[in-house]
Amino acid sequence: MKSDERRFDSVVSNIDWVLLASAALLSIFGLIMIYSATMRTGAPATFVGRQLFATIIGLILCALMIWLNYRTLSDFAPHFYIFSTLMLVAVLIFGSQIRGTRGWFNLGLFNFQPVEAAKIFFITTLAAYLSANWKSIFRLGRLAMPAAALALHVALILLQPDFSSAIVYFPVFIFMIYFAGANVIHIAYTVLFGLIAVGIPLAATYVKIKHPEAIKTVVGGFIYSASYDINTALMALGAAAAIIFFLWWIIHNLRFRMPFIFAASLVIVLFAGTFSSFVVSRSLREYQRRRLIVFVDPNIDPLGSGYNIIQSQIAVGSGRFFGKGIFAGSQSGLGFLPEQHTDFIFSVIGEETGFVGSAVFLGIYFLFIWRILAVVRDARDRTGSLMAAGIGVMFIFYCVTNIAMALGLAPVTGLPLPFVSYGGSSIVSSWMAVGILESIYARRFTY
Amino acid sequence: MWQKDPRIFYQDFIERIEAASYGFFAISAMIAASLFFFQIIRGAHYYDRSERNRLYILTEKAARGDVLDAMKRRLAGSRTEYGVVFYPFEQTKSSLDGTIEKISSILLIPRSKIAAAVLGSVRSGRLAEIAPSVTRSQLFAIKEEQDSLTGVSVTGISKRIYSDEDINSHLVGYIGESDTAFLERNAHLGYRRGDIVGRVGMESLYDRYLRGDDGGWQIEVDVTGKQRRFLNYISPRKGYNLKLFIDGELQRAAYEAIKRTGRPGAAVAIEPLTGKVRLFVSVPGYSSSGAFSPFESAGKFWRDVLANPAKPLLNRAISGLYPPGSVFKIVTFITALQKKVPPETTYFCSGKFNYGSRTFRCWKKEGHGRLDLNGALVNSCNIYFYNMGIRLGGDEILKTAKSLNLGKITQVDFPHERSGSMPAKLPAYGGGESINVAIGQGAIIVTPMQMAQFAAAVAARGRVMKPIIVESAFGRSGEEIVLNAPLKVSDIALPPDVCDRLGAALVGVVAEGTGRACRIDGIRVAGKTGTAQNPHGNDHAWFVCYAGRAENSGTPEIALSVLVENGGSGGAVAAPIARQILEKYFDLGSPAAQPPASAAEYGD
Repeated sequence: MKSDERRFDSVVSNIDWVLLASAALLSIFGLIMIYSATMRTGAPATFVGRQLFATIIGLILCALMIWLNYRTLSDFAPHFYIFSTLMLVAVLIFGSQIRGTRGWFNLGLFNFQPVEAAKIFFITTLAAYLSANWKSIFRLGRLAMPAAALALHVALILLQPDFSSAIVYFPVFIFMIYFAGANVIHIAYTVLFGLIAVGIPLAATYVKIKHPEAIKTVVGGFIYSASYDINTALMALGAAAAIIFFLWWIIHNLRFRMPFIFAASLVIVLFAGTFSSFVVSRSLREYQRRRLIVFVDPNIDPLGSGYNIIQSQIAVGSGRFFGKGIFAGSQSGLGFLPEQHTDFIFSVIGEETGFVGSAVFLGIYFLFIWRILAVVRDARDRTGSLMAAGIGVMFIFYCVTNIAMALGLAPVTGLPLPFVSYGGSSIVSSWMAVGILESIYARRFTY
Repeated sequence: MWQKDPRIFYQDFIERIEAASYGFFAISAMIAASLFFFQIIRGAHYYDRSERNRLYILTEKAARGDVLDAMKRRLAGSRTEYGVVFYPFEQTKSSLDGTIEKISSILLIPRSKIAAAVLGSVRSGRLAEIAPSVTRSQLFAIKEEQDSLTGVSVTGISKRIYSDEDINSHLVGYIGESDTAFLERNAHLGYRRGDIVGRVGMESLYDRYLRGDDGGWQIEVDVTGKQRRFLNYISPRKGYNLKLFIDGELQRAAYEAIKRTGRPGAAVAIEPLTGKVRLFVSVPGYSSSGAFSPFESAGKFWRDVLANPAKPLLNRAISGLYPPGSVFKIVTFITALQKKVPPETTYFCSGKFNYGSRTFRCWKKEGHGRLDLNGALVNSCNIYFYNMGIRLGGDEILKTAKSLNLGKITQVDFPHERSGSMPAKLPAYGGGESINVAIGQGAIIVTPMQMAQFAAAVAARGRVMKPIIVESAFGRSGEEIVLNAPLKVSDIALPPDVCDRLGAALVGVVAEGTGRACRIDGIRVAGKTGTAQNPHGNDHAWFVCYAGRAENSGTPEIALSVLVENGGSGGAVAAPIARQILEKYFDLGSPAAQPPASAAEYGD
């Protein structure tokens, strides 16, 4: 009994208070900005209240995660993965539909989005797997299992369909296998695969909107129809495969040393990517494609999706050095900003606190990420390091895409700004992740 | 530092982490730099833009598309007008007088009149229409003064007009304003708060075609609210018009025929080979236009409708659930023939049937005497079918019913369809349940739409078609989108001898049996009456039939189901309604009204 107490004491005394404090600061910052962003609705207190409630739940989960040894997460990794997969299946059957996405459990008092928990468990499971197989992770075959686990989760999420939540799986997966020691060539192929899978539907949409006359030509029409018609796609792929093998044959005959497997795997990636693009194409809604396209060219849809980017840029820019003052933003106050309390909360920060405030805000984020790096460095084993690194990649990806989106530097993907954006499930899972990080850090001396 | 791994692996890991960190630092630097660019270098420019340039979009709502019947008669249309409205939500007491004064001078309407409307609006918390239509110069004068005219707005107001609205209300549905619950489900489809959207019926299911593209004026306004620049006008585009397979005249005939009984009811008619729905009425209807008005409260309409004991909002054709009663004997009849029961099999009907300790009765107290299968269907003899139920077993009969799509939704293109119910499996010991099933009682529940599809399937020799209401949407430049083509749901391909015997028996029902009230010269009508027991009140009257012209050797052209809620005898109440509908359908004119039939005369 006594030893238990002492152990818990040592855990608490070894917590990284800077990490905790920076996350708490971001949460408080978020509550203030949500109040400001929802004033126009006439009931900002409701929004802040709900967010506060979610933060408290998040803090409780955070404490629970600190108390729970992170080794439990890796020892029972398959159980956690199966549990999160079952949640994703259950939400498709019993979940309630909000804005066309069947992704929420209605728990009466609040709605819970299982995908937010699922991705945390995916990270812990992946970390456990990678560290258990660390000796042979450079082999491609060792990556098949995690890739299948990834594909299953992503497929279930796309069935909801929730494109934005599925995106984060990819950078997390790629960076984690890279950290764990996977072969860089394999990763390059994986990225190529992803680019083809997502690139084809987007390119098709772009051409359709921007250059409809290109579709009418023979070659353009053929390539365009390959993006939705499986037979045409097979013909195009056949042609591509023939060219690749022919090139390999030439290089081979020129007596350059190049294994046949290079050409063969390239062809396989091409095929797999194209077929996956059909799945992506089905799960992307028209408005989501437009959003992604508008990033390339906001003028395609100046009053629709492009409008958001332009208004957000005006908002951030008009903050100038000191900002217009908290609760005094005119862009946000007049309702020019879309979804300003969720996805575009950074525009409100930029407008109302200016460069100074934004820089301080980014500084806190930087501090937060820097402390995560410390956790990665100081963890007592590979599992802990990988888990922390995965969580770090997740946070970085969210922050960077969200802020870049508000500045018009990245497509409007609907990803939240962790700790700050309005949204209960996101805040709860962010705090849960902080708990896991602290659990790793606090046990860095434990043997 | 990892405790159990060799140091070099840890170093390799840290090297990879560091490599990735450089990427992160680079991206962070880029974000900081662009923040510097937007806020410091271009800050003045953006500040200027945010202060000076505010784009007001004055929406002009697009008119909804028309809903036309098969002969292109208009069931629903719309008309757009510009009006000035007042909304009380942003109002402070001090500015009210100034607002009234100004708006009165712009619109040249007496102060008192505007004051009355405004005060009423403030008190009730609702939009008030100040002027139903304005000129363009008045419109811009109002925009010019917008900042001092809190709560005043000019909008394009689309008014929906319905013809024969009581008759077609259940089919066409009504519209309403999009509310939070609606937006939660549909915001991703481009709906905004305050949009006028279809709520039920065709208006709802085909809303994405009917709603047009809103247009409007884009006006650049400066910080004081003064108009700076007139940027652009996008003209709204009307929605697509819908063309239905429905026959508006038939709708009227059916509605009035049911209405004359003074009871609620429903009628659905389907072309057997294609599944085209020619008739879809539910009685009583309601006023589609009363359900929503942009300015007046529709509260009275809703209070009246909800208080009405006849439940006019219940779409009986598709959501009304009733036991099929004797109509279901058709299923038992088919099962008997499919199970190779000789049609010459006879049973004796004494008016009573003892099973275990219970006594079941025939509708005819004195009994039918000895009957064969044909005679039993013609006279709708319960005793015969009780015997048949025990002989075949209820499960077999239910299997046939399910193979004819009963107990499942018909897949008609209409929202909120109910599927009725069929018992999944009967208790093994329950001969009593088989008896009930054989005559369509027990846990069997159907909708009039299902019965019409069933009649059509019988007429089409076992082929079940998806009922289709809307043919196509056609647009402003004549382009036509075909929305529904005939589609087979299932096909059990009844053998010809089964079909012929069943056809002959059903024709017998109308020629000399319980369906005599639907006899029409020159038309071959094959039908079945039903009087469904109802624990809550009087029996429900059913008549289900299909019919074709005698000169075409009676090839079925139309299948029909008629239901009169608590109407009593199917033969006496529902069959005459079917006759009136068929006379209209075959364009026979209306012969002199027949004297009302009595239940005793026609029976079941």
